[in-house]
Amino acid sequence: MFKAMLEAMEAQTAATLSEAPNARALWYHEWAKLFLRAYRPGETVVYTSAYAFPLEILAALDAVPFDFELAGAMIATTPAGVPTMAEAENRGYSPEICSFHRTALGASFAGHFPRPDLLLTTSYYCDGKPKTNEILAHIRQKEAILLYVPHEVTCDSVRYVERQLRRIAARIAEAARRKFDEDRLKEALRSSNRARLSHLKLLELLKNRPAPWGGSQLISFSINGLLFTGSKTKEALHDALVAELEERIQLGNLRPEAHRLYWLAWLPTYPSGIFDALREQAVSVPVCETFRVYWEEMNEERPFEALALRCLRNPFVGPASRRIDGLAELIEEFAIDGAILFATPACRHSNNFQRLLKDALASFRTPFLVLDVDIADPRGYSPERTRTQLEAFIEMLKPTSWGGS
Amino acid sequence: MEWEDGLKPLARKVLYTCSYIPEEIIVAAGMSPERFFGDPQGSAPETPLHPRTCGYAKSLLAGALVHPPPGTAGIVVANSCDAMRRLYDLWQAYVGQPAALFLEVPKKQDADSITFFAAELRRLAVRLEKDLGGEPVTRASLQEAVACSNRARRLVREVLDLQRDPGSDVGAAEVFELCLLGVTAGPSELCRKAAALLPTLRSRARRAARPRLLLTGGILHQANLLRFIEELGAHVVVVDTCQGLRHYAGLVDESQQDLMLALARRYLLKPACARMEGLEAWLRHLEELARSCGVDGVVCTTVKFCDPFAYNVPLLTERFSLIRIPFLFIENDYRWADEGQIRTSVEAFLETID
Ligand code: SF4
Ligand code: SF4
Repeated sequence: MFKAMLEAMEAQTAATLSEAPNARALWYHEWAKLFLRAYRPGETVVYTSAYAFPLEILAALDAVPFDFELAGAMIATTPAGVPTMAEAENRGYSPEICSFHRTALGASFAGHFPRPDLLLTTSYYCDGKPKTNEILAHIRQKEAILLYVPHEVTCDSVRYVERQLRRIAARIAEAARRKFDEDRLKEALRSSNRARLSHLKLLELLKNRPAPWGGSQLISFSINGLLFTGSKTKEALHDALVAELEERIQLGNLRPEAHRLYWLAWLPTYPSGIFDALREQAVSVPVCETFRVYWEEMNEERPFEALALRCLRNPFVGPASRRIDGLAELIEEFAIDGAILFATPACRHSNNFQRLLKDALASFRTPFLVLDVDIADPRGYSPERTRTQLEAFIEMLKPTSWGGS
Repeated sequence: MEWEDGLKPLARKVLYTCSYIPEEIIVAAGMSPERFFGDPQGSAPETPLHPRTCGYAKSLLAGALVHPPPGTAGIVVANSCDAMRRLYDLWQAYVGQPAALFLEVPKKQDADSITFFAAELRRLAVRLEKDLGGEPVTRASLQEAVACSNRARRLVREVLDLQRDPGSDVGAAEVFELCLLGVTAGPSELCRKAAALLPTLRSRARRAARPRLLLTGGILHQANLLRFIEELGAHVVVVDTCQGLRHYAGLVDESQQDLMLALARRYLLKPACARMEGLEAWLRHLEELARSCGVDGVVCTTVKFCDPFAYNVPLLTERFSLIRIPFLFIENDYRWADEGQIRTSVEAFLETID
């Protein structure tokens, strides 16, 4: 079922690309192609967490990163989402565990996912991720590997993460039956550094008022675009997006904008109507938490150390205050009128950050809304209630002089 | 120095939140370690923690906000899980005093993780001195503390062996009370109590065999569940929880030159709880424990919203079903507010064993 979904996505986007090429079609096309590679015999398939594990290592080994959470999320965009989750629930997985993981587990039980050679994940963002990784490994009778990233950046923690990354690279090389070539890793880092520059360029363009892009597309890209980290595809996607946004700004081909919001955490995978409601009120989301560039340019000559540092500096590792750092400046630079935290019920680490965020935003006098909406499970979701909540919130936002519809 | 004679004046209290935090370092800093259970029975007010967070974490914050524990120099919070790392952030922001120290505890058990954890333990020792006013942790003070905790572990092991003995009349509830004393009053007090108790326990008359149970799970801060299992006529032969077997299993190698490394090794390699990596090993360990204790059933209890355990429970259920050992899963809210309902399910479970 999932493979057929990917094949349809690949064919559809290929047709779009031949008729009217655009960045979005390219992104979806590459995404489908990448996941379809995981079904091809002879490929080294590593289940992983694209938004957490440094994928340059996989890119250097031509291994296919199959992100079980993003794959589950893709299924959850369709009516097959709930029955897939139910596969896991019927085996005892509690509805209190994250629906992202229930979907990934259900999809695996139902045999939708490709066979892995290794299963690799990180200790962040949440406790559920390494757990799901181990359960999937148990189902597939394959090895589960955990990259443990400590809370603080110290000399010891950098060395610790670096050592783990070296061992993991060697283990993937073994699974791929090839020699690990550090020069290829350096090349992947060079590619990431170039992509970082175009990422910064995108952020500059998003400061434009009205915003040339944003909302669910931006948030989604900020997460699953990481699948291409360390590859030329990532650079191409950024370049295509930069060209498109520049053109939109130049032509003035932009949606009217009354308010600008900052979005924190993730977004629902199923049709929720949230972004339609925002659009109707001329509210844009020109920047989101997961699209911020928190890392410095990486030292290509010390690739493992550079990747270790990037992992350790991830805002979802360490104290929650990291998610607040630089927020005042961001609000200023992007002319943000309000902030929304997407709060899926089982996301303990993020939900327990709500109070800190609320207090920080209050000190910046930025209106704040917590959207208690499940990430992948539409059961119990009320579009009407969410719409009412959003409308009430938008009422509170200060009037801007930027006009609107 | 005879620690069990209470000659060492253990001055200020240091609370801690996880059995992966070595009490020895707190003792070596001249302070008194106490596992903090928060405000389990109190009418917990709204805390800055999200309602869908485990009751233990909520209770700790409620406890600190409502009745700040007196005579406390500080609290050590471990990176046990998502709830605990956020608890630390919220403690810093909304509790402040007593001051909180954070301890990183890797979820892995390999050599690199042990080396890293040893470095974290050295940092903890320094912070106990600098931030909480403890004494400098020296080789001698650590050696003494390690010896005391090891002695406590050996004594508890003897008690646990008596509890496990077929026909034993050493009840799980009373043994667990002793285990709880060890984590609240410290190893020195535990040594004194256990040494006094052992002769009476050894001389207890034997009693007719009862259904034998293994109790496993996360945090258990009171013996109520054990008490009513006993009232229902079953015998819990082993309590594999944070304050039970897992707290006392495995000794620190006192002969090691680097005692921090020895501590890191003992703590990371002790029987794992669900937070640790190694699902297969965890399942295997529990299966072996159940088999070696010859149990007739297994009860697993965890706190609602505890993800580390919640993800593991379905496979644990499956494992015991495969080896045909009856299994009961009880989710508790840490306050045990639904004790009546839990009692009913235990009763129904014991009937299936009978
Ligand atoms: S939404 Fe939260 S709990 Fe769920 S997978 Fe993401 S980080 Fe983990
Ligand atoms: S009970 Fe579970 S969630 Fe709560 S503190 Fe312990 S490990 Fe964390």
